[in-house]
Amino acid sequence: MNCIVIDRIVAPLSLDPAEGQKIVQRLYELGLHPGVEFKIIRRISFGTVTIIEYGHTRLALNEQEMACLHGRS
Amino acid sequence: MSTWALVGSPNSGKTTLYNWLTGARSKVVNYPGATVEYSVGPLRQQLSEKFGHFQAQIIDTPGVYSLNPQSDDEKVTYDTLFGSQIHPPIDGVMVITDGLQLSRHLVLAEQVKASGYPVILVVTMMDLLDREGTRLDIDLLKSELGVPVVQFDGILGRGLDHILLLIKNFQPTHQPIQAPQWSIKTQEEKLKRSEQLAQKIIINHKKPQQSALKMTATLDNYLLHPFIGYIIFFALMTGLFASIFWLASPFMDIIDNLFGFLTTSTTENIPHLLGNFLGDGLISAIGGVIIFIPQIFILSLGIGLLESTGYLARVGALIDKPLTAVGLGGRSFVPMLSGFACAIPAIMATRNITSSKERFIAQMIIPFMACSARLPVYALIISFLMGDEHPLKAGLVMALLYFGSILVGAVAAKILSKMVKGENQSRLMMELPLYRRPRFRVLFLQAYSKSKTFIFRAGPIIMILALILWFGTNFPREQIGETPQLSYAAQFGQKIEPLFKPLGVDWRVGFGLISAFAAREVFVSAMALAFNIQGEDEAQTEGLLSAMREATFADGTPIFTTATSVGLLIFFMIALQCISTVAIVKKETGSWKVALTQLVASNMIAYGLAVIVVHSLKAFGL
Repeated sequence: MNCIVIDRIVAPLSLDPAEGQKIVQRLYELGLHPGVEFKIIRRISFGTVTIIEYGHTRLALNEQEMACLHGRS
Repeated sequence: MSTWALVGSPNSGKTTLYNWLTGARSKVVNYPGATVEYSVGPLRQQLSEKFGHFQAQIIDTPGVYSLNPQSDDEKVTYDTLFGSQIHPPIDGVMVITDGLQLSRHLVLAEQVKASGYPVILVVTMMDLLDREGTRLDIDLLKSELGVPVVQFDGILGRGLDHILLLIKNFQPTHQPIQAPQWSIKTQEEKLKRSEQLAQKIIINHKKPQQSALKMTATLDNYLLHPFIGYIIFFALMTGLFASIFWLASPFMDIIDNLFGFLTTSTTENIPHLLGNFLGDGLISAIGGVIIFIPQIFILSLGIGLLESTGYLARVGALIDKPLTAVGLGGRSFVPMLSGFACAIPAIMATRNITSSKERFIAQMIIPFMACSARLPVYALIISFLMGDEHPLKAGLVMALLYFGSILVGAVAAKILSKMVKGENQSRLMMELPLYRRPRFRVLFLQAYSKSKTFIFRAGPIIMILALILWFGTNFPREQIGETPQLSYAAQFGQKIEPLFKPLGVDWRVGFGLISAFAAREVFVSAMALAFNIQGEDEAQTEGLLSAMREATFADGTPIFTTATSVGLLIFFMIALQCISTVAIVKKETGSWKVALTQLVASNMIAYGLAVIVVHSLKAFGL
């Protein structure tokens, strides 16, 4: 399992700015922020959905949402 | 009277507490986004008396992650707290927090407190905390937050008295209420503070036992496996849909025999006309609905089981990609599956979908899902086509029909995604709850309640239909004599018959189809009523099935063939016949035009396709 520490949460340019901002907001509301470490559990749904785990939370993110999380292994 | 709102993140246990406080039986499930509308209820009488006839109102709200709403269900909570809604003014807010997710749920509590509302913090999921081998330093939490804190056990109700004492002794503060502003900076600060606080108050006091986290990780290895996960999903769905038929079969036989006995006793012991009305009319028609209770019960139990374990959210994630291909997304899955029980709550559940285009498509296709009202119709036609000898095979055909309804929905969704303007930015971002053991007592009560609703919804309509048909087939008395073709019902039937001729059926089936617009499940009873007027001795399903097998047109050709039966199945699969669904679509889309277009278009397509299928199959000699 791959562990990642978040450096920043920024929406990719391919996303509509308003929607990107909302996704970033929701990621913060779900407890993610720079400094948080999460594990990538697996990729499902033909590789388009990533399951991540941090603390007691498991979260399913699609490709656009996952692209907002920037970090280092 | 004191009024308190329950606010918290999705799946934190708000509805469980609401049910304990008010005695309501709102459905409790294990996935985010189950509550999409606020509910208001008075304090349970027993609790009110226990606390000196204390009067209070409790408001349950949809789950929110913050006080900055992004979807329609979150707006309901926002409006409840800060809008000029119809409910009475709120004295205080109970913020419900999951004991295992304190670090982020405490942020919401801080936001509510900052808005000016008096706050009581209720910490739930105590059983899960205990299994992790941890407990909370509640006194420290209380002093750090500056609000009362209560631990609440949703299974045993422990902590309820403490909550009631707090709200009874509460002194109103009348502070100005204002929604707090959200920014990344403040959110990050609050999150870090909450994480530090959570670390301070969580005490590891013993070794974890049956850790829910470990169990979740183990189960997810299989249930979320990129290959095995799909096999398990299809096996579970097929098992559920097939069991509706074969598992219910023995119970349906018992009910069938009982009503057969009641019908015979009534017609034999009560004088002619009244006995005929009560026996062959009313009892037979009521039996035609009650016989499907075992199937409705099993379907409700199966869906409840999936909902309560935490599996459904995972399936949403698992099939996100295939759903995206037809303009939907993983978040649409739960409302779609709920549509197998009833379209009305399922359409309301689409409020949880953030993309307006995806939400609209989901609202349009949910009525295609094979709801429980279609079940009796499918069961009757499958029984006619396959007989009673092979319940397992019939069960598999039933499963095929359910998967067929998903296919119809997928095709419609794809067409709509091309037609509806706007870019589809589907959002998934879904919390996967920890797996929990289902509480069978609760599931049985929910299934019982669904079955009761099924009877009480169809019952009055059947009574009215029975009266109308009895009158229509027995009057005018002076003219009928030995020629039933002169009855009002027969005269009316001959007028409407041209409409149903292309479907290969006669006016009696047409009468059933028209009756189904009052409630789909009434189709079977209406058929029983319409066919019994031709002098069949038997009643109930067997009687109706033999009447269907023997029914012919005037020229002696059989009415019910493989072609006409499949045609009827196609019609019921596609046609929107439920007026309540039309009303809820209007409410959710805000447009009569959309709701009525959906009603007319689905019926025209259903009729057209059924006619094509009937004539194609007839061409093959079926």
